[in-house]
Amino acid sequence: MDSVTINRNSTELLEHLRQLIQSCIGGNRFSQNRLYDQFAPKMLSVCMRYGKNREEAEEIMQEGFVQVFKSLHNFKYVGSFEGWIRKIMMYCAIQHYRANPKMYLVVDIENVTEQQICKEDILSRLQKKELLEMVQALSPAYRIVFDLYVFEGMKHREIAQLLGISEGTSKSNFFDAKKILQKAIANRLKVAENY
Amino acid sequence: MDENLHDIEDIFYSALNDNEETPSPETWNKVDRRLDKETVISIKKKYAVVKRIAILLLLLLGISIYEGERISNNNLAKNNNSNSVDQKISVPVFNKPLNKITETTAGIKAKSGKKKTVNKRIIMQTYSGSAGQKPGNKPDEITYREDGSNKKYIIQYSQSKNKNSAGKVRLTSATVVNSEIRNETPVEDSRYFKGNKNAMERRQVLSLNCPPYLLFEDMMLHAKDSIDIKYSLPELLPYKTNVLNSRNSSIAKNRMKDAEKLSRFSITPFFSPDIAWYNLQDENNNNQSTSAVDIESKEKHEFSSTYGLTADYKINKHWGLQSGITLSNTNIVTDPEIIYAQPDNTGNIKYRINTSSGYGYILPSFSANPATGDSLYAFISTHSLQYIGIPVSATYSIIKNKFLFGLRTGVSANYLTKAKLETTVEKGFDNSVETVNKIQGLKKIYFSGLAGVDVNFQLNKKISVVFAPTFRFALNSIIKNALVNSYPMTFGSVVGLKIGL
Repeated sequence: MDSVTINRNSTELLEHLRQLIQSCIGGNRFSQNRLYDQFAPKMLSVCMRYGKNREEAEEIMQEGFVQVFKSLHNFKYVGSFEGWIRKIMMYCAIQHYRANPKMYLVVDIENVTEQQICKEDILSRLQKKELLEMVQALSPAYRIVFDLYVFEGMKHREIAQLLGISEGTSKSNFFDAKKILQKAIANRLKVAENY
Repeated sequence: MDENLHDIEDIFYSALNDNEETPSPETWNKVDRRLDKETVISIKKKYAVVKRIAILLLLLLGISIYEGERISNNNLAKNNNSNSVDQKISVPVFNKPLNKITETTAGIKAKSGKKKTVNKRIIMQTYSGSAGQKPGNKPDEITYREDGSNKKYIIQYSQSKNKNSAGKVRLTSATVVNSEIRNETPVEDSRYFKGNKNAMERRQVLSLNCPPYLLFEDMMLHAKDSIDIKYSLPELLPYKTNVLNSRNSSIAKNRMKDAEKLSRFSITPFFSPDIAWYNLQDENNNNQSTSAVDIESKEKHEFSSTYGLTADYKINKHWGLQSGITLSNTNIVTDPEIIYAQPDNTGNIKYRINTSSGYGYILPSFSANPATGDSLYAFISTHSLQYIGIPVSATYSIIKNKFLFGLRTGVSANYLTKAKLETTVEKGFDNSVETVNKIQGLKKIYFSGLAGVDVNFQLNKKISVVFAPTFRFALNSIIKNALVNSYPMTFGSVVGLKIGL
């Protein structure tokens, strides 16, 4: 009985979403605002990982939503709508990354201390915000490879094609990014312990 | 260590993947403003073509009217000059008492010297109570002159008989009438006279709606008194128009006779900005991944045009045949999309782009060996088709004054000469432009029907301006062995110049 109710609710939600999308395609600004309100928090979170700060993330998201509303008629109702929007945000982030001057951070990763850190331990002692700041602190080249690999689940070959770099560079950037993040976590934990 | 690094990924993924952040209200406002801007631009783009067409048509119409009027005037002048240049009209009317409406049948001496009587009467009532002219005074002669569009009667008074009176009075056109007097309408306005400095004199001009005549009351006529054409009495204008119309109609009749004598052949170079669209239908293929609706939703037709040369052959007064050669260009833009690699017709794996006009394969240099299913992000793609057409159509036309109105229907065989596809795919920090010079799945030839309306405005015996809204529709699909069947449709505003041979 419960599963029937859940199915019905999910069908209703889908129908509701379909109507909302159709209304947005028709140019209804109220519906567009509703769609934005529904997905903006999640998408800002996605963009926050690609941008170096909140302002840049909002800039990417703004461009992303304009593209979403312009391309809504292309959505085929196959697969997740959220995933579709997220993909557009990702492409906007890549465009933003290309449009801005690249600044490669020279990182000395030799001094990174390797500690055996437990995942649960870290999650309990560090806040999400702190982890996000660590990602944002990465250089754009490291950050985008890290984001595409970890959050979008892309392979190094695909990342290399998308960014126009070699597969080796993609792997190297990813490895370096991880080293930096590991060091950042270790430092943050050390600071926390001292307090 | 490796295990530890993998943990790092998991830590960030589980901590941040489902995270949510509340955006600032300003972000939506910016999106809102951007959307407004996009809408305005889209409307501007949408109507830009219509505006251009409207301006072009207005321009052509203006030129046609101006040219037509000029040529008509020239013809009128020629016509009149050849018949009645410097005609002298005898004036027995002035031998009678002047206070009566008098009329006479004027004998017109043609330039050839032959005297012939025409059905024209001069009707004139004059009061000449002033010192200048006494009743009974008569002008020596009245001369009718037409120099082009300038028509006037010159009333010549003898200077010796009355030194104070006018030596010459010029009246404007339309004092020669063909019908009877009716509906007198007095009008008083000093503006109608120019050159007369005696403002104290009362000037009254009476005019009849049809036919007009001029009446002078309490008025001293001075040398060079005249009624300027631009101050023509409003009541005279309809008559003047009638006179002109009657002359025009006779000219038009002559012109029709001339037209009948004209050559049966004519050619028309033309240009037609087209509004183009495709009627797409799904091919009966169950295994297809792209449908007509999908393609239709992502494609937009850009500026399309047709130009060429048509030849007309007139079979009889109304019916004719038209053929020629046309060159049509169609440009279609596809929205950004993800394209996938798949084996092409030769078994090589390439990225395939599907369009309403067939499909093309690309293999960017940065991804020379893709695996089936690999994807690329393609930005806006553009494909353009060019066809040479040979139309054959039947025309039915009628001539109305300087206009020719016609209906046209026929078929056209269209031969594909160019099918090009261009897209931009992502290539790292730069974009890579890929071009496919041969779109696959297109038929070499397709047939289309055409129907249209012709409006010709005759500039002179040989040349007419042609405006012909034309609807062209494909009779068979331009596609073979592809996902969808495409039937191109266009509505074009043909503008051209018809030249009689």
